[in-house]
Amino acid sequence: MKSKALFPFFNEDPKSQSLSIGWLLLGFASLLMYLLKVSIDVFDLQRQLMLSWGVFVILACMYKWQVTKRPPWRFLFVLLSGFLALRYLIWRSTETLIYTGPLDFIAMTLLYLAEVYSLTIYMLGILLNLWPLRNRPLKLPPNLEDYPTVDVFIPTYDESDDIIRITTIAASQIDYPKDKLRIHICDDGSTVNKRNNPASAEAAWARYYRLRRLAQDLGANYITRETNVAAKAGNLNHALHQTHGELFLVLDCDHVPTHDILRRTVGFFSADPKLFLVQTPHFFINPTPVEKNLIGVGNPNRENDMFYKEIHRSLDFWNSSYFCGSAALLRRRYVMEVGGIAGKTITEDAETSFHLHSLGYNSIYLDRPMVCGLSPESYKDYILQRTRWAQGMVQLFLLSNPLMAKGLSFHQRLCYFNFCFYWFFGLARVMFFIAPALFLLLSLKIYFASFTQVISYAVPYIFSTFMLMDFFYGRARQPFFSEIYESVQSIFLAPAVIAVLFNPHKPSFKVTPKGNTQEQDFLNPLAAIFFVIILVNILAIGAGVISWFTDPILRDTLSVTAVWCTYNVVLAIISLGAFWERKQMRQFHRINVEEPMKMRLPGTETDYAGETMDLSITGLGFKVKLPQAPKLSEPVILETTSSDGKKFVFNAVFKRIIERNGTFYCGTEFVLDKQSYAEAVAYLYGDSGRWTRFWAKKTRNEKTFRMLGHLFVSGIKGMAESMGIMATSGAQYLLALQRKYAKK
Amino acid sequence: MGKFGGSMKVLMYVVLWLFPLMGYANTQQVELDKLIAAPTLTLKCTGDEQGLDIPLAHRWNVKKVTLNLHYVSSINLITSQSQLVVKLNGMPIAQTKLDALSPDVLVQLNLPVQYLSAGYNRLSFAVAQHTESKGCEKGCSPDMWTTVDLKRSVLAIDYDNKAVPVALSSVGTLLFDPKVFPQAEVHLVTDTQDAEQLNPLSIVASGVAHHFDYRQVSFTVSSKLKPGVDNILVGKHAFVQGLLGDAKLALADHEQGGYVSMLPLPQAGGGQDVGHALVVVTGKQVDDVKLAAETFASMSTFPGTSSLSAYEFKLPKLREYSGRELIEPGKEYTLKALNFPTATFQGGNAGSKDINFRLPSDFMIRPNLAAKLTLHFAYGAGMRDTSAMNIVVNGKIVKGIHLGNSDGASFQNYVIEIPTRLFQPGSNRISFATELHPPLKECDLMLTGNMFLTVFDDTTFSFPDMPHFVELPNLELFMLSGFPFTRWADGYETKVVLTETDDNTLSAAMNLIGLMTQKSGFPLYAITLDHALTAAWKGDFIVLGSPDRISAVLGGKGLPFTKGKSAVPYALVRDWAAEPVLVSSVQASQLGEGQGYLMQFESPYEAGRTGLVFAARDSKNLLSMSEALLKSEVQAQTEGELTMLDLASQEDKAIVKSFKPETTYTTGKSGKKSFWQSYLYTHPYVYYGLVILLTIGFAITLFAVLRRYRKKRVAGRAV
Repeated sequence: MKSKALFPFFNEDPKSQSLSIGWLLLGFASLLMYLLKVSIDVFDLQRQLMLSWGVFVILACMYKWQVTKRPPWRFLFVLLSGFLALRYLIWRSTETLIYTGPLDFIAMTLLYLAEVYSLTIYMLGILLNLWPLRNRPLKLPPNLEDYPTVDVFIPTYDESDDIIRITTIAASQIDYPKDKLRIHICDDGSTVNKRNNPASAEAAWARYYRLRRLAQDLGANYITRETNVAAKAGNLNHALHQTHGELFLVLDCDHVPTHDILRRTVGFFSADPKLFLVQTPHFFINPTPVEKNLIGVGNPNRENDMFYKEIHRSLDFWNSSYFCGSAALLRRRYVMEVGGIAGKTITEDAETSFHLHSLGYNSIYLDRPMVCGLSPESYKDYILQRTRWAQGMVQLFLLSNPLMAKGLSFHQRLCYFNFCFYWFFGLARVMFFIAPALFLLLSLKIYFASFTQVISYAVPYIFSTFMLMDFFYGRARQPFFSEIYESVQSIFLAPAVIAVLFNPHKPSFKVTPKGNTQEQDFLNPLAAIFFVIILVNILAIGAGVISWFTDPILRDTLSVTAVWCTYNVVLAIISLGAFWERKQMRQFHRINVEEPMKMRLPGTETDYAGETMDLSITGLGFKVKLPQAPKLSEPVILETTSSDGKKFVFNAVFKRIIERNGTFYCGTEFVLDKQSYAEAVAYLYGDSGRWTRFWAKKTRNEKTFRMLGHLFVSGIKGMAESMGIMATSGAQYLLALQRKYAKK
Repeated sequence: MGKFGGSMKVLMYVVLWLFPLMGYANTQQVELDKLIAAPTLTLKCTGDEQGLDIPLAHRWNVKKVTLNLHYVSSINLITSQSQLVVKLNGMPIAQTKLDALSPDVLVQLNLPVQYLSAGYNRLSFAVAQHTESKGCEKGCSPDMWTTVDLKRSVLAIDYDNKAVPVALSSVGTLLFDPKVFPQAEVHLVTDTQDAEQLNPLSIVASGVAHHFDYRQVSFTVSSKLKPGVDNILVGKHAFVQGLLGDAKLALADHEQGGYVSMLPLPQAGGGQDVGHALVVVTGKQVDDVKLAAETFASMSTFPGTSSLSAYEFKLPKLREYSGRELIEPGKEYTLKALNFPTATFQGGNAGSKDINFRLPSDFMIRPNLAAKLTLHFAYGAGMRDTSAMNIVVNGKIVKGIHLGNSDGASFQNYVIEIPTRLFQPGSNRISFATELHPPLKECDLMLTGNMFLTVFDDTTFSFPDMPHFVELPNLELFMLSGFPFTRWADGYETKVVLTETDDNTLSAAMNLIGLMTQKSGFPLYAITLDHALTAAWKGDFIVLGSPDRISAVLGGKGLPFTKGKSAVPYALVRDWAAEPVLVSSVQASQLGEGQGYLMQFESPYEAGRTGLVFAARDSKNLLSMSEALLKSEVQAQTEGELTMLDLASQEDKAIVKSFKPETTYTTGKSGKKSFWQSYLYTHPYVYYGLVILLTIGFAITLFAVLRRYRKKRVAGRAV
């Protein structure tokens, strides 16, 4: 008893335990802060170097040690990384900010704010990723009659009928009691307003009739509305008012569901009466623009893998998983409680979650891919999508202020603050691109640190951030690729975010185009801004070389800023390389999978076992050993099995046959009628086990530097070609001028 | 010449040295390198001039000055066209051919005394050097040189002492004159048995040392007058009147306050020594004596009367870290304020000029800040565009300014930001080194009149503020600025403890106080002297005496060479690169004749405060040690925690051994420090261990918290 009184930590009362542990944590944090202050105040550089590089060496040793991926070692790793970051921040804030003039001050402040921003995001990232939740156990409702009724909403605006058809067919194949499942095509492309508008009436009426017929054919309900007000949020709210299911599943019309999507998610709603959302990953089969550039070079992770494979699991830990617009099951009652899907911002999904979390409702993220979708095909579409996200989240940041929001728990506030605040990265990145040039070209004093201080404070911190990012997200993203993705977006997001800052209500919803094709390779004109960045940084390096000789006193600073400029140049060239738009001829993407299959020629009884190589809704590629070569256009019967053992049989014809060492590599085209088309959809899109395997296959590989090298070379090539074009255009212009004046 | 030539040379030296010694009351001989702190002067090119300053004390009546000049010139010079001119205050007083056949020359010159005056006299050497008699000649060919060997060139000054005017104005000019060389001596007379007199005495000694500026001054103390030197009598009326009565002198009537009076020095057999003075610093009560001492220590050439009565003395509000040549952080100084008047560099060998200043000894220099030098300068037209002015900080070139405009130019506010990492706590130097080149073509006459650069004294310099934090013991800082005892320029919070009451110990203490005064450049008005030290003392302290007596005063602190067993360090030098390896021998031993040591450590009574021990076998040796400490060569070798001096083993020089500290402590601004901060600084591995342990503790606690949280989340519940 006495010891309990003395050490309330051992008290059985959970409240006093929590309080004691809280005090203990505060004590540790305070002591560590004190140690940090001592080192910054009085340690000489030798001790500083020992401290920072000593911690870094410990981190580097732990980094490769598998056990550190799991708590409590994981916490030690992140705390040591945080120690280096906090040490840098305190030093940067207390030692390096010196007023030397108004222009210097402005530039110095901007850079400092950019760094503080980055550090804030970094520290929030540490908190967020402390202990991601993985592999939630499956929960099923106990009795069939307890299964809630579910509405499936497929909102569409201008997507092709093929895309809508596939998604609707797949939705109709969802494994769920048919009397409790209702599918709705929510068409915003044929609203009354559009049909009455002479400019769009013809297309709208045609679409209206087609989609109504399509819905009717597939047993779905067709819903449209008067106007397009409030875009997707308005569309869904309209549908919510037309329907009555207890739960509703939202599927973007290019998000094809697997048949088990409800079976794996509905049970959570029975287990937790306060649950409003089960979000599942957005899984894409088509390559992103960056991936397209790396086909044949390496196997980079998808850009959104980091979010769905790692970050969302971490959000789930903090009960902050939020609605991502699709592939999510929501409880109607709670959504209606907040007035339906929110529409104040253009990221209606996150905003709705925010309001529901504020009311004390819960969310869950189930980390199993159960929809298959299309990511933007071109940089233009990609930037369009990211601009909407950035503007929407900044709107949420400005209009709802997550940090002060009532009803959210402390960690939820931090989580929402983090993913709103994150979208300011464009501004920070732009600052990092130009900061060293401000010093080298304009002599603005922006960072007061000696070379040894940079080595002691900044370098270990920067290296540790790379290491920690890889520690957290290594399974979902190759090292350095975050830099590329952020760089690629930053220049375009920065003005968009600034626009929202000035007018938070202005942004409007723009639909991300999907399923577009591309006929040839070209360097996207959006890349032009990177030429400017490269040019400015190269000029800055040149100025630095001159100063090296004229101002030997500045050599320390010059070497640091020149290295920084070089990094910017390399990053900009790699980003430029990522801006190549590769041709995209297929409308239906092939998926590379290796699964057992059988083939048989019609009229024969012999099955030949083979292995699939790629699949799409139009056909299947496989390899098989055959006694004799099949003929082109010859029919073939293909038999395949899904992960859960369901057999599929398709009639097809050979379209491509290549023989190597007795193995035939065959490409076939399905011969599909209405019934078999649905079968093909079920086979191709219905199997979440395949997507899970496919998802897991996209893990880090050893070709990171090869891929980076390839992007760098592509960037150089893009620069050379563009300069060639500019030179040619310039020469042509000059010749034209010459001719014009010669005539006169 | 052979052997005979060699013998003649020696004989000539002897004659030259002995000759001036005959016939005059006083003769001072000084090697020229003592006057300029450089071993040689090298004169280059076709024309060049360099020189040095000869100090002559105001109290000297100079009779004769002889210069034994030794120089070596290039054997490529054409004798008929090359010459050396010796100038005194700009007036040519001698000239000689630079003879290629006898390039190594020793010549004796009598410097005409009519060109000399009290103060500094410029002795310069100008050359005209030619290597071609026909055709073209390069203005600065490498074989055009003449080097004056300053070490072997000797100046002999014969003088009588002038009669000291019986006026207090002599205190500021004649009596305590830094131009007296090679060193000065002052005798302090006091009632050595009266402990109350110690503080006024120390103020007087400090004031005298301050008047002597940088000139080495040694003190002796007794209760009697000492003939042949200036005496200062410090004490209460009763003691002073008794002593003066013995000398048949009387003290003027004086009712209250302090009293300072100037008298001729009485001689033992009656009569007066008019060449020396007796200054009386007295009062009825000890406070009055102190008032008189403070007034005396601050006096300039006023008043002109022979005595003064002092009623009040006010010191300006002192700041910490102020004193001689000390730069105050954040304040903008003109070069004029930094003792650098407008300087013009002229000619082909214009040389360099320095600004010397000090930074607080406990400055923790932050490397990322910048000191600001805002230059105002102008340079002449018609110089070659290879001309430049280099700014050199502590021997490192930080900026070259190209003087590339052939029309000449004038600059205002030419800002140079100098990284603070190039500076150091203590003494610093900024040099302006010029390279002025004429635009000569072959056979052009080298005219150097337009080759000039002027740095104006309204050029400004400022240094940013820095935190105060320093690792001690470090005797080097003591020798540099008296740190930490002069943290307050007036010695506030410093106590000097005398373990003996005899004259020698007192003299040694006065020497130490004089030394600190000259280092800090400010009289130590607030330093206190005592015979005991208690635990209540929260400031810094210095204890003088034998090791055993000091140990007793410090409550039995272990010191080297105390009775019984004590630890004595020895240095074993391993190689050039490595630090000396210290070995410690525990032994029963004592200091010998001519041996002593200085030892610094953290005060046992107050963290962050410093104790300094000055120990010798007995008080006689202590006095010898204190006099040795005044020598610059001993000061230069004093560093670390412990400096041991041996004056007996070698006749001509002191053996100095310094030892780095094994354990250190730290002190911050105002001598304050945080115990933990200091401990973690001096035990860095404890710090690193704590970081790891606390992080592990944090991680485990976090794990305990989040594990429970996670269980709830896995169950699908909110937390």
